[in-house]
Amino acid sequence: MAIIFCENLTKIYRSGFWKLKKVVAVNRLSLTINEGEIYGLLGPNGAGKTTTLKMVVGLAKPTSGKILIMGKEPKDSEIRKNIGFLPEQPYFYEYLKGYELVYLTAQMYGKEVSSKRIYEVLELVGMIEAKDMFLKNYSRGMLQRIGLACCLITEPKILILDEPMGGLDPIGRKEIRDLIIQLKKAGKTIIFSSHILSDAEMLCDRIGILIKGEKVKEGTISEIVGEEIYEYEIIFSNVGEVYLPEIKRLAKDLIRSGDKWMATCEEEGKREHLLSLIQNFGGRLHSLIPRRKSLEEYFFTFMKEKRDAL
Amino acid sequence: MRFKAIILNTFIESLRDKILIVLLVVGFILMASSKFIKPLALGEEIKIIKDLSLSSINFISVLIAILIGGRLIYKEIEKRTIYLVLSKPIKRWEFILGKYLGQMLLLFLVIGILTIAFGIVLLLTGVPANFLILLPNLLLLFQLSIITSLAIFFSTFTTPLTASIFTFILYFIGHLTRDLKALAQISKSPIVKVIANFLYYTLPNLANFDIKGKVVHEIPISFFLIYLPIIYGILWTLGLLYFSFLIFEKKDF
Repeated sequence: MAIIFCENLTKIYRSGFWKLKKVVAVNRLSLTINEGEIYGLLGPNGAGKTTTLKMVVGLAKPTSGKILIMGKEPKDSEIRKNIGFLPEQPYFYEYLKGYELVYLTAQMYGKEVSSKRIYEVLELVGMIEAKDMFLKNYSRGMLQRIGLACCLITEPKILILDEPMGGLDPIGRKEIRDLIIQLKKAGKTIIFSSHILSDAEMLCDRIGILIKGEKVKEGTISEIVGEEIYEYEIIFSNVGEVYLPEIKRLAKDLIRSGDKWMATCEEEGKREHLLSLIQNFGGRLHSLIPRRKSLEEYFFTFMKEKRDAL
Repeated sequence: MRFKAIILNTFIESLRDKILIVLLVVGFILMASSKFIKPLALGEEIKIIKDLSLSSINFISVLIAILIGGRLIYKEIEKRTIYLVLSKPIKRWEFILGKYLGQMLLLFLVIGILTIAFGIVLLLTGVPANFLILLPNLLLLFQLSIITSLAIFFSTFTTPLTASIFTFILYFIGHLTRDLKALAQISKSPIVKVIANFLYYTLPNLANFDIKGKVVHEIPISFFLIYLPIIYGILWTLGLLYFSFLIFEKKDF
């Protein structure tokens, strides 16, 4: 069932002193986000991701087109009870403390929440220790986390996260990823924009790629990237130096890492041959990993094709 | 009453603003200085102490209304904190109203604190006073309501500095509107007459709220001089807030 539905959504900004210059930020965008799914809105800077999300939460009004959230338009402020929104590079009231901000956010939803609930959410996003610190002293990652706490405090059904992993270190990104997976399990619908494609690949049920305000591709990762294996990665050890040239002849690449070797090959036949050689030479097989094209690789190829076509 | 969160937030923001502390300290110093003026007052010390203290309360609270009020809306837009608020089930008019009420709550507190300080000055200097001395502060509150609404109105479409300058200019002209009327009557130029009359009838007449002189000189004050400015203040406030809603409603963030 569609929880967010956008049809022919267009946003044109006017700029310049006389407002005569038109900038099309989003162009005839149609989207259907289903209940309980994680949808990733991907695209380069200026693709219209943030503008789309702002229109969904009612911060910007569409020039034309329709948005329905659970059957109602975003201008119906009551519908926003069901939405938790984390803006890109979140800016909060610097004069507030972490705990105060979460409390105030719950008040904005018209809900009285207990201290216990606030502590629970702060614990969930790993901010319990910093609850009494003024927000002006928070790092970018801490602001991102407290922003998530604000999104979660009233347990909304839909979470709209604009670049939720932006500015986070790898550990912080992993924690936020795990949290998003946990929230999906709890039945939340999550729509997020990102330029970190590996994160989108790990999280999203479906993605939509925007370029210059238009949706150019949509589907599951495998529909977009394809299931085709393009390479096998074999990691092994304990093979004598004398046997390595034979392995090297079959492999596309052979790289040493400590006491282990990593061989890559593209064909299934070569893979089988390599495995039997390693076994015959008395080697120890550590792993065999089939590699599919990553979303990142797909994205770069796609963008290059688009640029070349222009 | 979801916008009570906005009221509370605006109040906390202003309360934790260093400008407030600085201006309050300046207010205390101004009032305390009346103790040193007393020997120079040549028998007029009672009037001077009352006048100086009431003027200090007026000056400080107007400055707070203009300086903090001018930043109320624009700062939220500039710092993008508005995203946090308007993505919640809060209507845009609730946001404007919440900002206005939060600021008024602060000004009420400021007038309260300065009035207590005024009471202490009266006690220390042994100047007699009755409850009528509080009337200028009551009308000041309604004058501040217009100033805050003006600052919010300008703040919806200009920068804090411009909003503060515009509000200050209108505050200044607002105290000269009677002179504008007089100018219209005595001027022989039809253009000057039209402009002076136009300004007199379109700008808020803030001099209506100033009864300090009458209170200090113990001139009897008619009932109309109290409740008419109050109604006038409420109407101007509602009008300005309504136009602020209209501008704000059309904005994209």
